[in-house]
Amino acid sequence: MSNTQGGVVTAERSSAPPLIELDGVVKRFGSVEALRGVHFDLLPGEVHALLGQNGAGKSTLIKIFAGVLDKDDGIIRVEGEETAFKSAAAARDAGVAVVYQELSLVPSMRVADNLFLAREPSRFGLVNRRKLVADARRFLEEQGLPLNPNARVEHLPFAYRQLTEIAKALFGEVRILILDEPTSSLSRGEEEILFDAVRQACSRGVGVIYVTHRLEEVFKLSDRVTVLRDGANVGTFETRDATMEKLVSAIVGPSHEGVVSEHVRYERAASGRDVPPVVELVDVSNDRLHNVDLAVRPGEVVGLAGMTGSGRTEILETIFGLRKVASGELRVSGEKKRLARGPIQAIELGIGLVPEDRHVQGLVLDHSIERNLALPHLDQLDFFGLFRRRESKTRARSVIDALSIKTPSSGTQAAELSGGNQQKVVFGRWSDPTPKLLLLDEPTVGVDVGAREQIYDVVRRVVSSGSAVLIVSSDLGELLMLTDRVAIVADGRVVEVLDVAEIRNEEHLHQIVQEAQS
Amino acid sequence: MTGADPGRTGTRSLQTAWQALIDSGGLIYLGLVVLMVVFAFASPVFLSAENFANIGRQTTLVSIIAVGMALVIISGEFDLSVGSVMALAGVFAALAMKEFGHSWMVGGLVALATGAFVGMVNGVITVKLKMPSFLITLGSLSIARGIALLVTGTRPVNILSDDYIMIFGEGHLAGIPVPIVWTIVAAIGGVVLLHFTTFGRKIYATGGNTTAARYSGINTDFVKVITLTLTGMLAGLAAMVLTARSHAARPDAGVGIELDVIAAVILGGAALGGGTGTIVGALVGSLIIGVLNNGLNLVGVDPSLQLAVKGLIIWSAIALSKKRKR
Repeated sequence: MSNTQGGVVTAERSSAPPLIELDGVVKRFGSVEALRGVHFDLLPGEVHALLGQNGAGKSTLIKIFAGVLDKDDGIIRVEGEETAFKSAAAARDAGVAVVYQELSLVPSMRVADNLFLAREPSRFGLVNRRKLVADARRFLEEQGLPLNPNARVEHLPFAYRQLTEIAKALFGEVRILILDEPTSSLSRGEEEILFDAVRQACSRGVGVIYVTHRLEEVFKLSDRVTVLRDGANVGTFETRDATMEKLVSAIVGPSHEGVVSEHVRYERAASGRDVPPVVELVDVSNDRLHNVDLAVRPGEVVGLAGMTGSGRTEILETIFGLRKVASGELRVSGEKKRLARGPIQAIELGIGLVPEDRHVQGLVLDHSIERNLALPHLDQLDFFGLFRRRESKTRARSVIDALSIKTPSSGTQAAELSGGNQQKVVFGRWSDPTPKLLLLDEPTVGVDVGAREQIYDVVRRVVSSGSAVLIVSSDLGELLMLTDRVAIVADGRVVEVLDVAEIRNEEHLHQIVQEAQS
Repeated sequence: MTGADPGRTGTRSLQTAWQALIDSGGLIYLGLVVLMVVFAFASPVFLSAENFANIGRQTTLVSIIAVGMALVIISGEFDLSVGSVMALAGVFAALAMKEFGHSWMVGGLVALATGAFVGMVNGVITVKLKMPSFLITLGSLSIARGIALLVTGTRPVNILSDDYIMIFGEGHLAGIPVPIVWTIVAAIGGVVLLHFTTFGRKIYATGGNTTAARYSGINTDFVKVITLTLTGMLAGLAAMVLTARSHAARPDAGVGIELDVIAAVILGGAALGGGTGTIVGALVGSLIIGVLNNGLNLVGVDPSLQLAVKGLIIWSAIALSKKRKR
């Protein structure tokens, strides 16, 4: 269906000038060039997919479109005319609307109220609720969006909240709609609702820039694809001419060939095939997981590869006691455990977690490094109820030295550290004693290269001490470098488990992850 | 004008000193000193030993409860019910003593147990319903007051135990009035618990970032129940001091005291969101409120105006704490 529509649109496309055109756009952050002369154009009525790995420059590019960031060099033309995108308001005036991953709706208000949020007064004076709902209804019908203006947003399924977000974005004179990974939180069936809305918008001449990690969607929805890598264009393709292989190799790039040979060398005591797994999931299901089977043995590093929202994080959370096991068994060192006491019990059993969001789940930002490091060890630092302050300070200092955390003292607030050093603090919690199983969720996101190496070092040390590591990472190269086996996760299931030796390179792993989606 | 302008650099270093004072939370001590200097000049009797004993006595109730409130607020919760709990604990203690031969021990135990029980109920409901304790304790504020009025038929209950009156109200220990002794006991207990025990660490972590604390294996629900229980218990201790001093338990005692207590804790540098604050700060906050009440009285300010002045002081304390660098 999208193909025929795509065909029709192509006919229109060739005659019309681009809605927006970027030429040689450069953006620097300090000495780092996030965008190095990027070209991009969007035609009326087309869906133009934007692909690239984390850090390729997609987010920076979107922020420039949105007027949130100002380019350092290059030209932006809107319908042929050079335009300065100096502010979000300027971008809005040029007809650009962005739908970000985090939704910006007021959950307790109705769809209609959300559409007109902060726009009621200038247009209608006093709020006329009846007119507001009627106008919202008319607008939604015009746009072909299946939404009830009287529905409260918090009662809507996630896909419809996203539609409301899109409706809100389309409200006004919007010609250019940017969707930033809109399907990452949607289930399979829900996607179609979103795709229909996108197609509707396109049929009205709106151009859509569609950012995604799911290549399958690119083929379903888009007319053209642009791939970014390391802040530069790799190429722009007609979707009809592109194949999955071609896109994956464009995304990953040639520099990653032979990545497997750079695999981290572990010093392992003995092969642990005959010992029981540190943790074993047998047919485990709960609200987010379905019949998951997975085992991690002592001295082994296992990776979880999948899209955001595929259930990777939920597997870690289940092992750490943050999610209940509804059916199936969770075994720790061969014994069945229910982890009814949650993380407390998991920690007692020798499981440690470095969570995905260090600001929300990892650190007490207002507190000192020493306080943060002591958190999971409070019971060990207890002397008949009293806290052994000096002991805790000594420990903190040794962790700071061991991980070379850059800080004036152990009393410095965690909030004052750089991202990499903050992450080292979260890691440092699990350095003494070393847990039997360390769970890592996106351990190197937002971390500089130096800190990254040190984090890999920690993994190496953990493994050489005979412990096991289970890693979730969107950086597939990282998984190939660190792990012995990779479990492919999709829709709350472990689709398959591969030995790293079976995976040729990052490109191959990408393809496996993509194929697991369908 | 270029570079070396002495006036400018002078202003700047003054500014940094000011900022450092704000950041360290030392402003409250300065505030207390300034208030005392002002009142010393305004009233000849302010600096007398007798007046200081007065201030001490007047602030004991707020100070004792503020120790508990500091724990609650640092753990990220709130307790509005302390005034009513104080009245209820006093009433129950007085009634129990009437029943059981005017024993001071019975009175003391009943007061503490009543306070602790209501506090625990506050805590358990808060964590089980996952509701803000602000709202839960708003409910218990009303319930506790209602029960106190009901069981007494709205009349005060007289206390006839001389031991009770001496031990909690009118006696002296080493020359110090017992209400102040009990305040010191509560304060030392609070300081040790918060700053020297493992549990104190858990209180800070729970209020600083509940999710991170949970992910680190801290039973944050338990921490919250305990801080609310302790606050209830301290409201019970305050009830003992109050009823012993007035030889009677009034069911309408302590109306509105929660506002002074919360103001003291916030003045003392605790963040409303939890995670920061100290016991000593809360006590100094309570002293400021006490000095303010006393001084404004001595100077002869209209009591209605006093209330408004207190509000202004609280506003400025909050405005200054906003400037704190995080």
